[in-house]
Amino acid sequence: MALPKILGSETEYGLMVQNDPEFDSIATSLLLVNSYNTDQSLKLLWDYDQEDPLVDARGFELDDEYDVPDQQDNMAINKILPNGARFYVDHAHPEFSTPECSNVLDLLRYEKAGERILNLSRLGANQLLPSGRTIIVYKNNSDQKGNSYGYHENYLLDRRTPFQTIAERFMPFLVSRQIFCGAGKVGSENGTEPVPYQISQRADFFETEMGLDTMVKRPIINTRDEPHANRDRYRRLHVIVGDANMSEFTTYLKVGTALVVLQMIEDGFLAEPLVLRNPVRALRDISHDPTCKVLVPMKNGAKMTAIDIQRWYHEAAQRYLARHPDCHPTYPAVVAEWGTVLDGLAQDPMQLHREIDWVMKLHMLTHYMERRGSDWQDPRIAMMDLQYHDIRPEKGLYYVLERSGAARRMLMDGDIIRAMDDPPEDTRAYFRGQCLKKFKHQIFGVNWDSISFNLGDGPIKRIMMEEPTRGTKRHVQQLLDRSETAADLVANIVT
Amino acid sequence: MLMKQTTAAWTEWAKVVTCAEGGGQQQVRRTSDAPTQTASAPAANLSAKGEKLRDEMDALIDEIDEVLEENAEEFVKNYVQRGGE
Repeated sequence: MALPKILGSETEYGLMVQNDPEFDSIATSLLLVNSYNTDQSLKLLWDYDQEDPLVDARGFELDDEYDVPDQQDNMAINKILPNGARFYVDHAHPEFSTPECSNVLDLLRYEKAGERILNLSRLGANQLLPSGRTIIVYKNNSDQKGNSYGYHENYLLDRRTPFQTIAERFMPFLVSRQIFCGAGKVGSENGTEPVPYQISQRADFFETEMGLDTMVKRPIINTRDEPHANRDRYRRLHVIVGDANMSEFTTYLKVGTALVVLQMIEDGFLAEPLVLRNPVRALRDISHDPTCKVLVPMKNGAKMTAIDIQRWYHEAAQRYLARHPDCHPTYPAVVAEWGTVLDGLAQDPMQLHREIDWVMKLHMLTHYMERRGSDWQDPRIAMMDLQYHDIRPEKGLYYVLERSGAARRMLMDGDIIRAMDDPPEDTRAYFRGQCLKKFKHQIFGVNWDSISFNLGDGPIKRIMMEEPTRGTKRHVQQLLDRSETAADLVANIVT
Repeated sequence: MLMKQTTAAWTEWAKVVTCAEGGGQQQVRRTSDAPTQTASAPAANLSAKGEKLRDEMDALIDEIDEVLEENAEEFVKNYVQRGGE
């Protein structure tokens, strides 16, 4: 069986400051990440020594410049949180990376905790602005004017599975899954055909099948080979083609199904894969058709709908579960929900108006237009599209739906609140998070796979954490309990 | 060929939207009542429930209007981001 899957997500948030004609997105992002739980005495660095964003999974390394910020900037743009997450400024956006998680429900908890962390930062930052100005933060992927910002999923895979195999067998899944994980968007962008509404926020922006870029010529399969773990054992699949979702159920299904499909690929279960003739075109055509009935051509000459393609993967998953009753305990529920959603989409996508973001949004917009006698040209419709993603609980339209019982939930509020402060217990994020709680003034630098301490005299001590499944509560609780200081910790690890 | 099919599906989709606008209540009723509805439920009861759902939808639309940003056109126009990732 495949290695246990460790996963995480990165969300880049959209930003604006109301009543600020000279809005500066970088300055506002900096203000935001420095307004959460501020402890000015902390001097934590993000450890760029461990980063390799220009290595390509196909076996070459890009010869390009990669800027590493100086120490002062480093501390200003990077915050490492006690729940194991990284909260930082990426280009012109605040970005929240969840800690490493061992399963889909944890991922969901930490991603939703990220929304609340952004909101608390926002409240803190607003107090430093001139009166009348308010920061608004959106969890979406497009400004509707041709600019897109990302939502990335990360899945830790076995290095032994060839990258080409993963890419080929995962591609049709990624292209078609938007029918149950698109966030919905009014209109189209980036020179694509005009439509009043489409399934995905991101589909209009993907222009190539495979590559290292994330900001231009965006590829459906991103080839960045930076495992943040033991390079001989692991690769990290960096999935950049997804939408950021508001709906808990949608995120659950998006991530849960990806885990099952990747596990099948690693176990050689999809040996005769489907192949799309033109994945880039198919991604867009599927997004532009909210009936979910458009046919896309396959390499073998057949034509399939996105639902057909998903059913093919779903049937394989059912066979996989029957063959592997010892698979991860979250998989059977994911596969069951997946099947129910595909049936619903085949009957009438609007049935899923409590579950799937793009349907929830479309349902809200069409009812609004009906009640108010307006149409797609009504500026309030574009406003609602944007405000669906507003992370303020009192203003965000997703949260309005959630409060009224119109959104299917997967979590209790208490689960999310705990995830704002406490790391997952069953990955190395536990060690990172607990060290931040206990030894924060001795920590010098942090990266996903290392943590280093400044013990006052002598060189910096860096603890390598190349194995993401270690450093769990079970592994390190005793060690943490018997280490009063960071020096004790380092000494106890060495001995 | 593909273009043609896209267009066909597109036209069909416009119909689905119209249907959702006109038949929205019916849809809400079907999904929300599924667990409790029985074949013998009196018609009056059903129509009372339909009315309740209509009221709920009206309340939701009213709440959306209350929280929706003012000057929608200007607001959306001013939301400009730099590309990210």
